Amino acid sequence: MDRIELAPRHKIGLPLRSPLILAAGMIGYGDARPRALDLSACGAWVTAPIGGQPPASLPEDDADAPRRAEVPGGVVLAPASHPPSASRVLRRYAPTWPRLGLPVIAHLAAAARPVPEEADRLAAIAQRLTSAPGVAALELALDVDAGADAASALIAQIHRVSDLPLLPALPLVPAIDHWAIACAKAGADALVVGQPPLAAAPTRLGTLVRGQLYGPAVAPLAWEALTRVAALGLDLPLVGAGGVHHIDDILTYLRLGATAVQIDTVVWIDPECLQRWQATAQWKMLATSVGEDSKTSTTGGQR
Amino acid sequence: MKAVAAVAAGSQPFAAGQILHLHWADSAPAAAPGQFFLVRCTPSPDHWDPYLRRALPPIALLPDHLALWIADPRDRGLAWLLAQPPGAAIDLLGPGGHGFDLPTSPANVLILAVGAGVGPVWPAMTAALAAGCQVTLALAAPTSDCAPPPSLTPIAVEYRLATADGSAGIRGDLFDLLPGLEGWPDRIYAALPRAAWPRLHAWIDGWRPWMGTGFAQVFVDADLTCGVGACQTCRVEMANGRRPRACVHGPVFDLARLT
Repeated sequence: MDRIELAPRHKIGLPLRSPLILAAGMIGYGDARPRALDLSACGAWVTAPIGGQPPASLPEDDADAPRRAEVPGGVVLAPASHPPSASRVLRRYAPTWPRLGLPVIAHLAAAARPVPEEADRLAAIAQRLTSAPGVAALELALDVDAGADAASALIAQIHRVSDLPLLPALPLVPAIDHWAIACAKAGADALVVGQPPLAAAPTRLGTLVRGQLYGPAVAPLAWEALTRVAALGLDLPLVGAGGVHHIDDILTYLRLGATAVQIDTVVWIDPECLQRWQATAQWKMLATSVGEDSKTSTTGGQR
Repeated sequence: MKAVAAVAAGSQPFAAGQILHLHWADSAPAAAPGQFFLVRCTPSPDHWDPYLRRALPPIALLPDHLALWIADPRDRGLAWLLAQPPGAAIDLLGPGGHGFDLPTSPANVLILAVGAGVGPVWPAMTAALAAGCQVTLALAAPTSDCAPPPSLTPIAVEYRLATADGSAGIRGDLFDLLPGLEGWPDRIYAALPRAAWPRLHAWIDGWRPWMGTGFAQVFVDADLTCGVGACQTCRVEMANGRRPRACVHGPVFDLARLT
């Protein structure tokens, strides 16, 4: 498979050997990889959130509360509380990253707090990560409650302190095109479409779990969002994210304009999926189509 | 944890749950009492409902045979699993986690269980017997139907039973079974609800000057989702405020760290 360039306008770029990216947290900080998961099929991996508090749009963590609720064909997962600091992540986990043999995309989660304060907080984390060996890019999960304008300010501040490619992860909301335009104008190097949607579901004992939805049903939501963002013609690579559970889902993302695709909870349920997909005719189609794209264009778009 | 192929070999009722018997399709992985297997409960890899794998502790571990404890057969994924005919392929990941640290020489071993906790501690009991230990099993259950009958417990085990309704054993709870056992155990292996942990700690404090680590271990029933420490759904709060992941650092934890 030819290399994919996920940040073509960036001076360093973000070249990937495969369009598949392990989504934020799926292998923790690199310490939580299912043994049966074949990383040779992947182009990069995204860390679990680094630094600060989970977004205000999600509930405060209660130590005793259940953190998951299964739904038909999916699961709602509550976010982790108080992600570790950048220093702790770099000290404890970064030494193991070279063993994974993949570029590391460090994930930052924005919170809906006053913009100057939040921008400074994220910039400090970004600056710390920028000087760390092995970190190839930053992914910024934007808080839907903060608004698209705040996203611009956050991106601009991070760019001031970090020269790594920056990939904002857009919330899957009806106004996603405003978010995409704001991020593009602020200098994003690529756009991740999108974050797992907010959801709530009761456990079997009736406790409500609030968090984010994962499962095959997320894919149509993300495909609709990707279609809208791709139609804007922003001249930025798009990373499709959400609901991938079959190789055909990946091909759909690519057909809809994604340059790369994130895979999430499928690797927990079926860690051998990547090996199986690599043996399919569709994988060969994927390799061929990626090869053609890398030769003719550096951005996503309708084919 | 690695992918393990097995085939269904029937099931049997046990206490209030079920035991699912499996034969290994290839070689048996090394597993310890207190660890867990994540079992896929769908007919093929392309089915996604039920979505999550079910975490099941082994109740018996043999070279050619694995018996998994199913505490709640009403769960729709587990009901599907129990309905699989003998010979059906079963998709497992495991074993995962950290199990009971078992004695390697003869000792007095006290096994404590409340309700469905009898499943995870059962293989610790049989392993302790195999190591030449003296074993007492103290089990509290709501009714006699929820407890294994004495005929199913190894004859060498002293079996103490309490039921809430008095339908078998004494009427009472787990702690009504403990008088007379103070000072006897060299090791304790337990599967109890969180609310009982401080009571157990207090009972031990009453006769053991310093509990220390390694003396009493508890199987913690946590939500095991990914099995590798990524999803954060299985974090268990320790007495010092730390929150290790049950799938990596447990599900068996030292009581001295829990309370």
